[in-house]
Amino acid sequence: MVGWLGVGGEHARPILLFTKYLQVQPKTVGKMNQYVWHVWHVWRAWSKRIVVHALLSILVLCAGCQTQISQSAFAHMASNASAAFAAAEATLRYEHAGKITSAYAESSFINYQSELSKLPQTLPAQSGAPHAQTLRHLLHVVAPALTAVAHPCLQASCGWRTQVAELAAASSALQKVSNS
Amino acid sequence: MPEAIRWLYAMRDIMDAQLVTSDGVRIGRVADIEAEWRDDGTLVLTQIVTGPQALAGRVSEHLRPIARFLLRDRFEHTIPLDEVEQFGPTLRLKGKAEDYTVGQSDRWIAQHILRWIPGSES
Amino acid sequence: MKQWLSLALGIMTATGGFLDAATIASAAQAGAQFGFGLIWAVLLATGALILLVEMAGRFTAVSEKTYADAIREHFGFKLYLIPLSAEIIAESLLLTAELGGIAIAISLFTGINWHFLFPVAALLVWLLVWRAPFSFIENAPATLGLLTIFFLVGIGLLGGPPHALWPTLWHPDIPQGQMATYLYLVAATLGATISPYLLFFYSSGAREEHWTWRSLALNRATAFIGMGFGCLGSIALVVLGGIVLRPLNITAGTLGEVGLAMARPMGIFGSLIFATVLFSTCLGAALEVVLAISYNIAQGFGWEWSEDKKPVEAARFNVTLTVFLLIALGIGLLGMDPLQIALLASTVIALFLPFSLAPFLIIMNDRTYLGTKTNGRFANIAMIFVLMLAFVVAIVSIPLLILSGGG
Repeated sequence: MVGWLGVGGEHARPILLFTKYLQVQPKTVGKMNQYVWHVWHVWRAWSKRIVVHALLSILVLCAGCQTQISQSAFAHMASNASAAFAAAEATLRYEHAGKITSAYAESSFINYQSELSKLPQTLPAQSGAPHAQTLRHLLHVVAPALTAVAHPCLQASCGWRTQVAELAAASSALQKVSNS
Repeated sequence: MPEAIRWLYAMRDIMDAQLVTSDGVRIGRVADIEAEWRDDGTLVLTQIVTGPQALAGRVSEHLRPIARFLLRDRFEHTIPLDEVEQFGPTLRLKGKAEDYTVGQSDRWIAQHILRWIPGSES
Repeated sequence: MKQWLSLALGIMTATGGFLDAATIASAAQAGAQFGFGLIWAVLLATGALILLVEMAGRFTAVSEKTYADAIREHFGFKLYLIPLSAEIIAESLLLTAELGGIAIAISLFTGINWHFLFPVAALLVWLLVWRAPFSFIENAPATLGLLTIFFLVGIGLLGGPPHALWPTLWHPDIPQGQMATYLYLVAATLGATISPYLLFFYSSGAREEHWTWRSLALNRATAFIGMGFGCLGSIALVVLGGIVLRPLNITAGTLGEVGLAMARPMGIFGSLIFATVLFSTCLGAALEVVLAISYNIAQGFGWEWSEDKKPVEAARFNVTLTVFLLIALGIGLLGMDPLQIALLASTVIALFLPFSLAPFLIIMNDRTYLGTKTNGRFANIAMIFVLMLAFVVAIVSIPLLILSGGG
């Protein structure tokens, strides 16, 4: 690439600059140079055709594989939310099992909250969303989980097990809808 | 007299080189070089120029008048070429840091701004 | 002999450069979503990085000039502006993300909302660059970063990876619709690991340590051991993500979730070890990033610089450090999630990667600086390969970012 800059005229030696860095023998330089010139002439003759065909093929491939290589915006958001609820559930369980401190859990829930709080507004607006009835049912399952994320119960006395169940339910519902 | 070198190249040995004084202080980089036509027809390099206007001129000639209008030559400094003791990617100068106006902004900032921030002197 | 104790420079560069908020999150995410399927990308990135770091160190040891010095001197001011502008944008964003990481780490210990801790993190970093000598900056985060060893302990306590996970090492399991995310994580791993700021920092650090041509063996050892250590930590996180997070359907979208993978085998101790590692790697990274951009500017413009000099002796350099911390504070107060900012920064870095690395190929063959220690044939060919990789990453990162919806 370095050697190509400054190429001009029929008698330029593009490969020479390159070989200074690679320390290649002069004999090989000659052969490489001939090869490069051959490729260059073929390129000049065919370039327009090659480029047009390549672009068309890429476009066709992209259109065809769009559905296979990426998800719809709705599925993507739903699956991220599902993972966040799963994390919230695990965090709550671990806190009560004594595997993390309450400070750790509190801090984690602040982050889950900022990730999930706008879900009821943003999720239905994504492209690829299912019809209204499915959405309503989904948001119905998600609502108590959102309350749990906003006010997680970190002491032994309150109903943390209910919260765990709500979070798990929201997570699996979102997971299911993102896979369908 | 500068140390004898077989060939001196402006771009390689002078332009953009680091300016270091005899007491080891880095004061800046060469932004441009001034040359003068002598009466006998020779072109002689006379001064090293540093400063934002010279740098603006390096990026594009159109920026030079704009930079002059904004900065009014207040930050441009020159050093005569015979102050240079050694050429190369680093130019060693004969004098000490106080002898040159280049790099005075370091001292100005130290005196006027940094002394108000605790811990700057020790 | 004392120089061998400064192997810490390599480990610190690794702790702060290799492991930071972005790579911790993306490594855990990679493990959580694709098992071992991205380990090859980590290894490839490590190989490229070892090459680049060794070259940066060798260049500075022999020529006693830093990378930024060389770019300005060799290519002139105009071309120097290209990597400079890219670095200014990228490092401002990255610094904000790292300060966010420090704030989140402190938050995991105290339970305080990280938004309030953000200025505390900025102040901490400023105090260190203002007052601490280079050796402290180099050693302190590195020492804490050694705690990464506990990740391996955690993996051991979990009984190692389950049998089903091993095949993903050579045959990644990519579900329908996840290919764009997979490729995006590959590009993100490569782009986030091979960061030019590491090279500016390492090269300047070699000058701070007064390396000479006698330090070449030390440089080689530092590059291998330091980057190897970082790689090990990164892979350990991928494995932990695969073992603990994957079955729970957790994707490590926040930094706290990654700690759960350490909490399972080692309880509270494990989670706090993670928080400490997060703290030290983000602190190391923040220091490296702010120093790298300030070194770059000071060296490029020929100002006096060094962390071992008092602020009054290197006034413009220290002002630059302060200004960048203020810029990061400003961006951070806008409230964006640090991982989102890190993503943005990595994309900018990936876009400009070829332009930031290309000077290397040319500089490493310049006999004026390197005398007999210029690149051999192998190093040049390897470097060309890395550059081609950088071009590919630069071209695909934005399309993949769009296609995958941000990973």
